[in-house]
This record gives sequence, C-alpha cells and structure tokens, in this order.
Amino acid sequence: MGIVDDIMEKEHDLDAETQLNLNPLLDLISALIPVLLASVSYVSISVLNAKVPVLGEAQVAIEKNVQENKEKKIGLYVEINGENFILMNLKQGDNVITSSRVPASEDLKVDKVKFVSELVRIKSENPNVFRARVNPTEKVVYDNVVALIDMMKVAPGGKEFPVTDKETGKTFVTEVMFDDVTFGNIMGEDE
Amino acid sequence: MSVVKKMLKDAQKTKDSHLNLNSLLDMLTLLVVFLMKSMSATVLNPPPPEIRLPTSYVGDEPKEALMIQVSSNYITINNKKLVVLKDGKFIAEDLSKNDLYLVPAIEKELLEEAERSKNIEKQTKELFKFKGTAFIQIDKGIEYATVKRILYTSSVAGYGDMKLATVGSGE
Repeated sequence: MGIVDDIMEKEHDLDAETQLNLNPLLDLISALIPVLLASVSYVSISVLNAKVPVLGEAQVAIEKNVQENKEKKIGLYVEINGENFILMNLKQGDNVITSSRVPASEDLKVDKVKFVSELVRIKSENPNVFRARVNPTEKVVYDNVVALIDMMKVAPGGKEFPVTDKETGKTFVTEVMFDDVTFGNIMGEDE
Repeated sequence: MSVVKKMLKDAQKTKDSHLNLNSLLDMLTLLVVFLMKSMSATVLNPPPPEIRLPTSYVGDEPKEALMIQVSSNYITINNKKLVVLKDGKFIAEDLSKNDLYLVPAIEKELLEEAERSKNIEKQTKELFKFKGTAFIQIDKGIEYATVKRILYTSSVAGYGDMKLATVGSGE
C-alpha cells in the first residue's frame, strides 16, 4: 500500500505541474499579426465595366434584349461636353425616338439629380432598351465619365423596371437600366 | 513578526506561480480572425498615391488581367513606365504622326503582351485564354482626350475589353 500511495502521490504531483506550453502558439500569432496587418485592405477596388449581378432568368432576358437592341440598332446615346452639358438621344438607327438635355448645375458640375431622373423617364418609356453609348468630348474629366456610366447602370432607390423575355413571354423586374454601356467615339463610329 | 512570516510565506508561494496567458491568447486569436477577414485577397494591386480612382456604386470583383495605370505624370503597363505625360496630357512626339489617336509606345508594349498571352494560351492548350481584357487605373482628374487615346490604342492592339478600376462608394 505504501508503494501505491507513493506512485499516486508522484502522479498527482506530475499532473499538477504539467502545463500546456503556449509559447510556440504565441510566437506564431505574434508573427501572423504583422503579416495580416500589412495585407489588410483599407480601400476596396472594384471594376465598373462589368455585368450587374441580377437573378439568373432576368439576366438571360436582359442579354436577349441587348442582342435585339444591337440588331435593331436601338440605343441611348449620351453626349457630355467640357461644360458638363449632357445631351441624351434614344435613337433607332438615325431616327430619334426621344431626346433630353441636362444642363450643368449652378456650381457648373454634372446635374446628377436631373440626369438620373431623365434616365429613369427614358427607361420607364422604353423598358426593353439596355444598350447605351457614352460620347464625352475631349475636355470632359474622367471622373465625370465614370459617374455617368455608374448612374446609367442601375436605377436609384430600388426602382425597378419590367423586362420581358420574348422567347418565353415571361416578364421579370430588374433594377438594371442600361447594362450594355460602351464608349461610342473610340473607333470613330458607334458600332 | 507574524506579519513578516506571512509575507515570507506568500513570497514562497509566488515562486511557483505562472503568468496566465489564456486571456492574451484569446484576444490575439480574435484579432487574427478579424484581420484574416479584412485581409485583401484581391488580384488588383492598390494604385500608387498619385492615382486617385473615381468612385462608383456599381462594381464587380476584379480578375487577373493586364494592368494599365495612368497618372497625371506617366503611363505604366504592368508596372513598366512607358510614356511621360505633362499635366495629364500626351506630349506631341509620343503620338503617331499618321494616326492622331495612336500612341506607338503603348501599342508596341500591348502587342508584345498580347503575343505573350497567346503563346501561353497555346502552351497551356487553351487552359488560359487570351480575352483582350485590361484593367485601367486612371486618375480621376485626367481629361477624356488622354483616356480616349489610351482606349483607342488598346483597342487597336487587341485589348477591347476594358475594365475601369474604381473605388467602391461603400454602399
């Protein structure tokens, strides 16, 4: 019994003194933290000239409409000059369907509110048009060009428009206004 | 004397005490998780400070592609400085004499890049496909006259799929 007691006492002492060595884990974490801190992204960079994520079937309907717009040569032509004056023409071939002018705001900047409201009006009247061309003149600042494209892509405030898939006859609603925006005056022609 | 004895006894006890690292470890683990979550895994490098990107509400995740950077002083392609700009405008001698919109130095570099990409496409048996995609980081104060020449030259060299880098508006 004396030996058993002795062994049990020794084991008990060992258990009491055994501790998990956390030093390597602490070393690892201390090394990880500066690496992670250095790679933290403070600015999120995104890409503008990309498709807007929408529900699958609606996206298919939009793509079919874009194709039809190309075949019918229908699209919204947006021109902006150095004085931030915007001219919008919805055209089919050479025929102007509807037109709108957006002068610069009082502080000579792009009148974004008026521009968006005109975009929404044109889109509401022509919900199946998704194609647009942007034609800035040489004096226009790049920031304004990007702002125009950005505003043309998606309707503000969750406003939605119907889009019909002509093959299936189904109608969907989408926030997308003019998904297919390209620079119209790069190669000296619109197509 | 009894107080001194007690103090000595306490001192004897502290000899065996260990620093408790558990709370520190908990905090560091939380910090590591938070940092890993906010770690940048984007393929697009942030632009240099002299390029101020425009903001946009609509956006998508960038994918790996040829990188063109345009500041008011220079143009780089894949970090190779090619053209010097003066206040964001091209110097006349950098433009082609036959075509006002063509920038020969950019065209040459892009054609070489396109050739390289097409070779990789062949070698990888079309696992990698050349799509003519380029990411352009342009300073927001640059005039469209400069942008137009870059887009035109890229288009001529086979890079027609332009991705304009923007900074998310945070909405």
